[in-house]
Amino acid sequence: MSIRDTNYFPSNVVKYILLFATSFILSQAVGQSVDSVRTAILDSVSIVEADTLDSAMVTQALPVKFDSTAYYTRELSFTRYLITSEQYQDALFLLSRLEAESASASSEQRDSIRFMMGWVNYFDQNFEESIYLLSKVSDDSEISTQAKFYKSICFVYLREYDQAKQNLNEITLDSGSLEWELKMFQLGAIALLERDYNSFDSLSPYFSENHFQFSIEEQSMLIYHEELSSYKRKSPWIAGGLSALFPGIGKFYAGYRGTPFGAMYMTLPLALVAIEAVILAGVLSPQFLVLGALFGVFYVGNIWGSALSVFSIKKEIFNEIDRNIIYDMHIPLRRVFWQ
Amino acid sequence: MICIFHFAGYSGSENNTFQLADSLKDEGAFEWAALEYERICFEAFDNVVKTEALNKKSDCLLGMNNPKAAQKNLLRINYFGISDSLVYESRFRTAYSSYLSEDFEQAASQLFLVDQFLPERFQQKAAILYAITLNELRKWDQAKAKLEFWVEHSDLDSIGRDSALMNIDAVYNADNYPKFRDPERASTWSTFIPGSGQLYSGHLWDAAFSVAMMVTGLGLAAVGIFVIQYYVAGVILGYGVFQRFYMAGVKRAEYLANRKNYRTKRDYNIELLAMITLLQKKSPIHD
Repeated sequence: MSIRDTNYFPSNVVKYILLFATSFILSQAVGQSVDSVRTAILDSVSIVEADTLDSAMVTQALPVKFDSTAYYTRELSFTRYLITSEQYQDALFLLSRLEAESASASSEQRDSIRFMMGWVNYFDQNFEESIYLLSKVSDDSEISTQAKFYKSICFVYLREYDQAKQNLNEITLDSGSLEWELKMFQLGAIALLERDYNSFDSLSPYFSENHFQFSIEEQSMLIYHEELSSYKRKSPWIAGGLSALFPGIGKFYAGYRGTPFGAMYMTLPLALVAIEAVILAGVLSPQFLVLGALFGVFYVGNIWGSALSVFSIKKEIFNEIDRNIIYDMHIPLRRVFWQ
Repeated sequence: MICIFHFAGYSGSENNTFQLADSLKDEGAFEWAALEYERICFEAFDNVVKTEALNKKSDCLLGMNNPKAAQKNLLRINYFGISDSLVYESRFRTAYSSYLSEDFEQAASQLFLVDQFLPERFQQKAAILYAITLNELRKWDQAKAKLEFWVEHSDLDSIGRDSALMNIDAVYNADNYPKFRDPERASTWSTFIPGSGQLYSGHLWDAAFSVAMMVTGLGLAAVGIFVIQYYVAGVILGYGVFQRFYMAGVKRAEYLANRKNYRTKRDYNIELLAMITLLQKKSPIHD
């Protein structure tokens, strides 16, 4: 039978040519530069997809059939593995490559890549970069809610509470759902950070404590509220007065336990030296004027420091509570969205 | 050192699992190659493939001058169900990365496991790294034994072997071992006799300065009490100066002893390393 007599000829020849070309590309793969290998594979994929070859032949000829959905699903799954194992730099490297070649990706896949880049930056404490990347996730994406939650907490870490609230308020959710209660919880936490106890009181009734993902954190938030609102600052006048009577005691009254001894250690010896100078040389003697002035500086400084210490210890206590609040905002996000 | 301890190549998997990652590594794209090896770990079910990928990833991390990351990566290896040669490659790489990260205890522990569980030929291949690791741990007798073991199993002829053994004997002479200062003893000396701890550590000028400052403190007190008769001022000022330099002297003595020990060990080990490098060049490890 002559080849020309059959309909077999044209399609088969094209198949063999393509198969040969593909095999040649693969055989060159090891010896070529990496970019050329990848480009070659992607190019051959696009040729194959454009052609009418049957899928079985394509699968056989190529190591990977370029199914963009499967490709990005696999890559994003690998990225999650990298993030879980705290290999953030590797994850970012992979994601930036994915983004660079994301022309063939769907908008949802591009959103996923940007979201994960934002996510990695968030875990790596690069909040500004994270906000920038999370902002690029489109609003109609399925993950836009998550992106806004994460963007909001990035703003919280940057102490930009208005922006954080604005992001949360942009999220539209069904009342009573898990995410809706999470939103209320986050808004309540931000109210605490802003010391806006009225807002917290209006939000805390929505804390049902029924969702295991953040029921403990809801309870903790109520405790923080109690601690913050019931905190009674010590009197700076009393602290200063006590330090005037005996150096360091004012700081002890304010709540410090170590620094009072430091204050005594500096001020008392100077007091003794000044007293000695006044006894031996008189009040108007240069010795007393110099040593007395030196003592005076330390003495007054200690009184001033004791008066201020009541504010500084309050700030320290509140900062500690703020750190706990932010940590308790972070944990539920991981539990709710890390699936 | 990197030049001396080139790793032996793998027989490698027969499949194409490593094709992309290997070509990336060959191109010097270490970061991307490391990622691709990590992907192999992620996707592989076979522990042999995972172990090979982790080993190759560590090569990339070493190529990126990050021995700590290489060490951390290699410590993930599960040694279940892999061949002796792969166990050796993995343990050797772990020891090597640990050595470069200055985690000598970890390096020694990996090489100890090679000695305990692998055939003699692997012990011989690891002997030099083991010896220099033991040097860092100041276990020179054991290092000497390791080197002798290595020479005895090397392919040197009898004359070369005798000469090498004599070299080792000469350098690893117990009389040549550096004498170390006990930091705790230096600190104790300075506590009771100011400046003596610094002298014990071999720092005469440091001792002199410390003593001079303490004498100044005492002098200030004496002047205050006996000359100008400002007793309180004299005592407080004099005590202030004395106490500062006394406490600093105690801490400084301990620091100086540690610094002296570090330098002594480093100088001696450089000498040993030069000898070992020479030996290794005479009879390179073939693999």
